[in-house]
Amino acid sequence: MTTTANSGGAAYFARLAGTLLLISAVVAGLLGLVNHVTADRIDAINREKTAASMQEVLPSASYTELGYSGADDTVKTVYQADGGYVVEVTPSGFGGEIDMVVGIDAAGTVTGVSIVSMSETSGLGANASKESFRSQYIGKSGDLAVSKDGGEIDALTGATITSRAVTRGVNSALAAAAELH
Amino acid sequence: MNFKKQLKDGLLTQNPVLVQLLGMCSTMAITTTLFNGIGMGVAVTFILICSNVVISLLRKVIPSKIRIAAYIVVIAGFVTMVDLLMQAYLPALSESLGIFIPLIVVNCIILGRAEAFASKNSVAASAIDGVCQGLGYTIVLVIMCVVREFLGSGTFGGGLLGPDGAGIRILPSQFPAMMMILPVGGFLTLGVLIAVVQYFLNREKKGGAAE
Repeated sequence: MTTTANSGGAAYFARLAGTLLLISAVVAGLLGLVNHVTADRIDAINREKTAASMQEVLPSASYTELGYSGADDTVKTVYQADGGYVVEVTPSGFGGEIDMVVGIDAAGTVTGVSIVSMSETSGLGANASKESFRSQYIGKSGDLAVSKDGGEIDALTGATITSRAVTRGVNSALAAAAELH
Repeated sequence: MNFKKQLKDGLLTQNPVLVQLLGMCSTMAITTTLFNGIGMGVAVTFILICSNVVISLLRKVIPSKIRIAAYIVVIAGFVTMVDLLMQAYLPALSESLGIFIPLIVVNCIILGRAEAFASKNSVAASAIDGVCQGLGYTIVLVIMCVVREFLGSGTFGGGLLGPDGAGIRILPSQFPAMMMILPVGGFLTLGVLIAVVQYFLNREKKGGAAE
């Protein structure tokens, strides 16, 4: 076995590299093709999801993107809506970033919270997308906390980290909107 | 190769999860609702069939020194395609399985079958192996999902049936033991399942020897 490898020398190694290169090139070509077919669709789905969430938290005829220059890096984008602001925030939950939008009216109270995407544990943290949890934030303002930390938001059973993260996200959104006032 | 033996291997005697103990990570992590189990099972089965066929086709072309690298490239290619296609056409499932789709690349079932089977057998036999092993994996996932979802959330068919896709409630919400949908519940369920299957496999072996 060693003799064949040695006697093959450069030609043998060229064959190794060539085969791998060829396989990689074919796979890369196919991936490019699939990406080309699906990219627009994936993009459209994501934009649609964000748009639907924004309509849900604070219905408005149009949303204008405002510049946010604050220090809070969980705040992604702030939109000016007809009756207030919609803030997209990404606090860190149990399984990574939670992408959510928060609607805030002109008086600085929350009009709605909607989760665009998250990777929380299904059956526990993922319950954060349920209406019964999200509706707790409606009409609240100021600095919120879950009941375990002395606040008035009831945390999800078994998902305190997720509940805290969502609450933190709402606080960040409220702070960002307050700065713009 | 005979189909019946391959099917029995995949489902029982060489079941990828229960006997070969491959693909543990995904088995523990996603088996919390029925929807996840079926989705992951189908995704893995599809990728397994594709990679088995391609690797079997290329088995005489790929030099043995670079075979693992070549297999991984082929597998990663299929996984990324499935990931993109799912994001585009099945966004709900894609969201629910999240990180575990890209992780199929390193799911040992696929590399394991490539190395142990597809690299030594004909294309047709490898395709059948993909179907049988994938089926064995899917069935175990579904069983674990049903058990864990029932004990942990008290529902059946989460993500598929019932109001809001929350599943059909069987146990009132104060009874389920939440630990069953946490990783610890995965270990417990899998351990019991392996023990039960091993018990029957051993009994069959002994019965066969006595005859």
